[in-house]
Amino acid sequence: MQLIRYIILAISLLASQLADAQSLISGVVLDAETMEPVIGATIADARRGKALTVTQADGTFAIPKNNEVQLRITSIGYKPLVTAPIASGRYLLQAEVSQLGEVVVTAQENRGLTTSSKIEKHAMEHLQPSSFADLLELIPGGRSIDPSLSTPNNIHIREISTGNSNYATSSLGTSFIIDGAPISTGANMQYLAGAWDDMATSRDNTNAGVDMRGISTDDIERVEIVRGIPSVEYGDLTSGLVKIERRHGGQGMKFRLKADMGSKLFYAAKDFEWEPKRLTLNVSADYLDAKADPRNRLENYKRMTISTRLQKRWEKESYDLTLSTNIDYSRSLDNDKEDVDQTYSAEDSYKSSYNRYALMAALQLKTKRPSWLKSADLTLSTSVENDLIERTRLVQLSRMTVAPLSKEEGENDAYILPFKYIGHHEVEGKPVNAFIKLNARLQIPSNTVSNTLLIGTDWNLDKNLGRGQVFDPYKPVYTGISSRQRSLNAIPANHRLSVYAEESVKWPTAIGTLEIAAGIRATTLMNLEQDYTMNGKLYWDPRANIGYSLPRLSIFGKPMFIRLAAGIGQHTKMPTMEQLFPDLLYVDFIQLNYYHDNPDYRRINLMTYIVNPRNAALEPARNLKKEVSLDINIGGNRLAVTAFRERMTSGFRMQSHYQTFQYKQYDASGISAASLTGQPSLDALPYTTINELAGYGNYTNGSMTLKEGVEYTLETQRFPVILTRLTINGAYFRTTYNNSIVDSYRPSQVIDNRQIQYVGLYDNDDGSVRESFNTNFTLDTDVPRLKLGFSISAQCLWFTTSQRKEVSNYPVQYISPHGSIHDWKESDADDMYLRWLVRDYTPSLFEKNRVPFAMNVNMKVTKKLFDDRLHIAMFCNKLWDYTPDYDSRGTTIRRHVTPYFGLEMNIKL
Amino acid sequence: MKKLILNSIMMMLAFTMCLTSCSSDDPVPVIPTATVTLEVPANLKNVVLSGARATLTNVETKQVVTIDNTKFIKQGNDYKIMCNELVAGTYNVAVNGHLDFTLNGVAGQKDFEVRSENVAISSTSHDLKMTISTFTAQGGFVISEIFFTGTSTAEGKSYSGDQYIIITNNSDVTLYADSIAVLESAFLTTDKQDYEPDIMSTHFSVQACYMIPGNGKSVPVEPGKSLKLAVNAINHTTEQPNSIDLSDADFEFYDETSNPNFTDPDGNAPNLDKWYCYTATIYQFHSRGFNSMAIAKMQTSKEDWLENYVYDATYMFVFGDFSKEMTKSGLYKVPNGWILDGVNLSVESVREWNVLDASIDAGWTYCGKVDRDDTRFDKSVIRKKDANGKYIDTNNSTNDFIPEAPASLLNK
Repeated sequence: MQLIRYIILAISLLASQLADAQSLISGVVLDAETMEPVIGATIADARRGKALTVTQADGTFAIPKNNEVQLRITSIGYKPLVTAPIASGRYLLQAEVSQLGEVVVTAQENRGLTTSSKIEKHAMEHLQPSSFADLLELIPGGRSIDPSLSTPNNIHIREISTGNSNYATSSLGTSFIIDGAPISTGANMQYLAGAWDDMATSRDNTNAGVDMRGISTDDIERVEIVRGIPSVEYGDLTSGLVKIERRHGGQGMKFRLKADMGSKLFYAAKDFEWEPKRLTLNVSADYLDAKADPRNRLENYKRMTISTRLQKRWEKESYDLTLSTNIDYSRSLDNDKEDVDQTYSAEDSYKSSYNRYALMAALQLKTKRPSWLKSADLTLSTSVENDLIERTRLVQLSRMTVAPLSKEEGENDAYILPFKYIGHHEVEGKPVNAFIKLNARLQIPSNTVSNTLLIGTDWNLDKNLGRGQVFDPYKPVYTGISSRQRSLNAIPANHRLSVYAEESVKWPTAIGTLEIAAGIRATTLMNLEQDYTMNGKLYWDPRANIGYSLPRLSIFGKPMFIRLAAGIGQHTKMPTMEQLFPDLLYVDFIQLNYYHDNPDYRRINLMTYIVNPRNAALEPARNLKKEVSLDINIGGNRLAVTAFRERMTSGFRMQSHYQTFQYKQYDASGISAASLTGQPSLDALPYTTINELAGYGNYTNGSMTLKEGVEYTLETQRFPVILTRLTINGAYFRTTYNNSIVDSYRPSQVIDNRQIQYVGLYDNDDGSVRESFNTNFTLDTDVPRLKLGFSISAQCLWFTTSQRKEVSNYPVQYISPHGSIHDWKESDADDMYLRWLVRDYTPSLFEKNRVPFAMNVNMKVTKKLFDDRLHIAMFCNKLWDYTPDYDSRGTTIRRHVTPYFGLEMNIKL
Repeated sequence: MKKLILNSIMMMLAFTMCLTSCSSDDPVPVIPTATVTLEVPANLKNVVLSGARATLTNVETKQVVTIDNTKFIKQGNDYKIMCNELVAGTYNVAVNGHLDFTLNGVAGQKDFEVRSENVAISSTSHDLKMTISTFTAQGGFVISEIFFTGTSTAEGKSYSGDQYIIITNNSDVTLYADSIAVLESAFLTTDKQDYEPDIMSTHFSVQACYMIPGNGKSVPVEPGKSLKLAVNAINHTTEQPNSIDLSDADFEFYDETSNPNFTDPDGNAPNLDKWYCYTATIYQFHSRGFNSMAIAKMQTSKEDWLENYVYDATYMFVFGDFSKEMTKSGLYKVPNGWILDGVNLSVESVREWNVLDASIDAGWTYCGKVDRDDTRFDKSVIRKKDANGKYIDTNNSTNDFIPEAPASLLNK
C-alpha cells in the first residue's frame, strides 16, 4: 500500500509541471565533437565575471533576458567560449584535447561518477567476438580466454571465480539490460532433477544468472559494464550491471562471417532510416555454430537470434517524444549425443534448448521548455520462453533397483524397475517475464548547481508456465531421483516492486567542481506466503557517489585535470523462483527388501516422508560496495584507478540439513521362500523401529563473498608518427569466499553392517581466498591511409594465488540417530564410530598455492578494402607466450599454452 | 599341565593293575611296556585326537589287543600309546582316529588310519613309530578364481552384479572357512603413493572386509572343495541372459541399507558379515581390477579389530600445478600373518605397483591389458593347477594365475 502511495505521489509531481512563462534566454551547451550535452557548464557574464547559471543535465540553461550581456561559458575539460547570446541557443564547446576521429579499440573508463567500462562498436569489431562473453577481456582484470561454448558462460565481475555454485550469487546478481529491458532469469527452472552425469550437470545454469553465450554482439552499438555503484534506477542486482544499447538507424546491408577454431558465425542485417520521418528500422539475424571439439560433430552449441527494432521520433516545439519497439527472438541449443559406433546406444543424448521471444516498447518524453520536468520514460517489456531439456538414455541396471512412486507420506511398495529400458526425461520450462518501469527526471531551478531529481518505480513479474520435470516414473533416466513431478505453473508468480529516487548535483565553483549522485531504492517481493521473512518487508538500497574535480591545472604546458571520487552503496538481489519454491523432497527408507527367484514374489516396502526444503527465512542477498577512485588526465593521457571493497554476507547457498526419521526394519529371515504363493505379507513379520538421520539441502543466506581490489586503466593519446596508442589496464583482485553457517557431514563408512549413524557439525566450513594480479599492455596502431588497424596485446598475469580457509578437522557438535545434539569432546576422537567424524584435512591443504608469472601475446589485425565495403579481420590469441615452469612443493609444474585464432569478413552494401 | 601329570599318573596306575592281572607263566616273553608313537604332521597345531583306536593283532596267535582313545597320551604334537604286558611276537598294528587341529591358523579336521604289518615286538625292540602319512596337511585355503570384470549386456554395457570370488581348500584335510574374511585393498595398484607410515611389510591396508560367519566349525570345506562367494547370489540369467546363475552361491556380499537408491538383492545364500566397508552404497569389486584382493583368517573379535586396527596414512598428492599432503583415512589394516592368500590385480597400461607384500604375492595378474578394455568382460583370473590337480601357490600370481581366463561359472 505504501508503495502505491509513492507512485501516486510521483505521478502527481509529474502532473504539476507548469511551463515557466517568464521572459528568458534559453540555450543548450553541447560538446562540439560528440554533440552530447555538457552538464554543469558555468554561464557567466563575461564583462562582470559574475556567474549567472549552470547548465542542467540535458545541457540546457536559461537566464533572464538581457540583450547587453556577453556570455562566457566554461566547463572543465573544455576551452572557454565567449559569445553573445544567439537565437538558435546552441553553444558548442571545444574539448581541450580533441578526440576527433579517434578510433578506440579498447574499453574506456566512464567519465561519469559511476565506475564502469564502456565498450564501443570499434572495439568489438577489433576484438571479433562470438558472444558477449568475449567482451569481458576488455574490462580491468580481464584476459583473453578461449571461448568455451559448450557450457553456460556466466559473468564474474571483480572476482576470481571458483566455479562453485554456492558462490554463484555474484553472477546471478549481475543484471543485463538490453535497450532498457532486463533479461530475467528469475524463473529459470531448467535443471534435470536427480542428474549426476556431467552431460547434464555441467550445463545447469539455474540460479547462476544470464548465460552470455546467448547474447549476440553484432547489433550492439555500445556496452557499459558497471563495476562500481550503479544508479538506484537499477535494482535486483548485487554485483554489477551490464547495459547494452543496440544500433538504431543507418542504411544498407551488413554481413559478417566469422570462423575460429571452435565456431562459425554468420550475421546479416538490414538497416533503414527515413530521416524526414524520424523513423528507423533495423532487422538482423545471426547464427552461431560452436563445437566443443572440431572433430566431434555430436557435441555442439547453436545460437540463432532475430531482432527487429523500430524507432520513431516526434520532434515538437516543446518536447521530443521517442518510441522504441523491439521484437527479439533468440534460440540456444545445446546438443550432446553419444557416438553410436563407440558406445552402446543410439538413444543416449542430451538436448537443451532455450527459445526466447521478447517484446519491448519504450516511450521517452523530453521537454524542451524550461520546466521542472525534464524527461519521462516508460518502458514495458515482456518475454516468453519455451525451454526444453530432453535427456534420453538406455538404462541397463546391474542389480535390482527400485523406483519410489508414492506421492504421499507413509508406507508403500516400491516399483521394481526392469533391468533394461530406455529412459526419457524432459524438463519443460516456460518462464514469462513482464517488466514495467516509469521514470521521471525533474529539475529544481537553480542558478548555482546543475541538478536532476530522478524518481521512478518498476514492477517485475516472473512466472513459469511449464510442466517442469516430465518423465515416466516407471522408466526414470536417473534412478536415484528424490523429487516427483510437479507443474511449475503451480508455483506462485514472483512480483517485485520497487520505487526509487535519486538526486544528482553538479556544482561548479572556483575551487573545483563537486558532483554528487545520491539516491535510495526500496524493493519488496510480493505474493509471498505469510511465513516468509521477506513477506511485506521493504529492502532499502541507499547508494551515493561523490566526486570532486580540481580546477584546471597545467603541467608542461598541457592541461591537467584531476578528479577524486568515492562511493558507497547497498545492493539487493531477490531470490529466484527455484530458491523460494524448491521441489519437494521425498525421503524414502527401505523397510523390507525381499528378493525371490520369482519376480512376482519380490517386495520392497518403503516408508516415505515428504520434506519441504522451502526456507521461509530466506532473505535477499545484499552486497555493500565501497570504493574510492582517482582520475588524472594530462593532455588527453588518462589514468583511472579505483580501489574497492564489496562485502556480501548473505549470498545464496545450498546447505545440508539432517533430520531424524523413523521406519520399520522388517526381519525377512523367517519367510520361507518355498511356501510363498505371492508377495510376502508384512502383517506377521517381526520388525524393529529404527531412527535414522537423513540429509537434504535447502537454500540459505550462508555464502559470504568479499571482493577487494584495485582496478586501473591508463590510456595514452595516439603518438603522432607511429600512429600508436598505448592502453595499460589491469587489476589486483582478492576474493574471499566463506560459508557463514555451520555445515554438516555424515561419513559414508559402514561399520559392522551399518553406515555410521552420526552427523558431524562443523563451524564456518568451506572457504577460500584467491588473489590475482594482471596487467594488459595493448598497443594499437591505426593507419588511416592504409585503412589498416592492428594491435598487440601483452597480457601479463603477474601471479595468482589460492588458499583454502583453514578449518578444523574436528566437529563442534554431532547429531546422534535420535536427533539429539551433543558437544564434541576430545575423547570422542577415540570412539569406534565417532572418530569417523574427524575429517582428514592435512595442514598443507590450507597452504597458499601460488602460480607465478605468465604472459600471452595476442595479435589482431583489421583491414578495410573496396571503399570500406569489405572489412577483413583476424586474430591470433596466445601467438607467443611466456609461461615458465615453476616449483610447487618440490614438484616441477610445466605449463602449456595453445594458440587460438580466427578470421572474419564484414561486408557492407 | 598339572592335570596332565595327574592323568598320566592315573594311567600308569591303571597299567600297573593290568600288568598284575595279565601275568602268565608262558615261555614266550612278555614285554612289560611297549610303546607306539603316532606321529602327526608337523605343521598341524593344537592337535586334538578323538575316537582313536589302536589295534595290535598278533600274527601267530591272532590275539588282538585294542587300545582306545583314553590311553593315547599327548607328547608334544604327537601321541604315545603304552602297551603293557604285550606278548613278544609279530604284530599287525593299525591306528585310526579323528584329528582336530589348526593349520596355518585355520581350524581343520581329518580322519586317519595308519597300518604297519608284521612288526616284530621283542624285548629289544618295543618302541614303534607310526607316521600319519595318508595326508600331508600342506597348503590351505587359496583364492582359486576372481571374477571381477562382470559380463556385458547385448548392447555391450557393463553388468557387474554377477561378480564372484571362489576360495578353495587346497589342502588334503577338511578346513573350516569360518571367520575367513575377503579383503579388498585400500590402495590402488594403479596409483602409487609413498604412504606414511609404510606398513606394507607387516600389514595389508583394506577398505572392505566381509567375513564368513560361523561358530568356528560351521563351514567345513572338504579337501579340494570350494566356496563360491557372490556379490549377488541370485540367478542373473533371468534378467541378463549373458550372465551367470549364482543362486547356488555359498555366501553373498549383501549390503543392507535403508536407502532405496542402493537396493541390493538379498539372494538365498547366507550373507557375509560386513565388518567394514568404505562406502554406504553398493559394494562390488573394481570391475577393471585396480584393487588387490586377499583372504585372511580373522584372529580377533570384530569389536577388537574395529577398535584397534585403524590405519591413517598420509601421502603427497601431486596433480598438475598442485601438490598437497593428503591423508587417506577410512582404512583398516590386517596383519600379514593372518592372510592366507592374496592376489595383486592390475592393468598393464596403468599399473604402478603392488599393494600386497611380496611375501603374500610377488607378482600380479589381470583381465584387460589397457584401461577400460571392453574385451575384459566374461573373463576372470584363475589359479593354475599342477599335475595332481592341486592349485599352484608359489605366492607369485604372475606364475600362479591364468589371466583373462574364461570365467569358470559362465556357460558358453
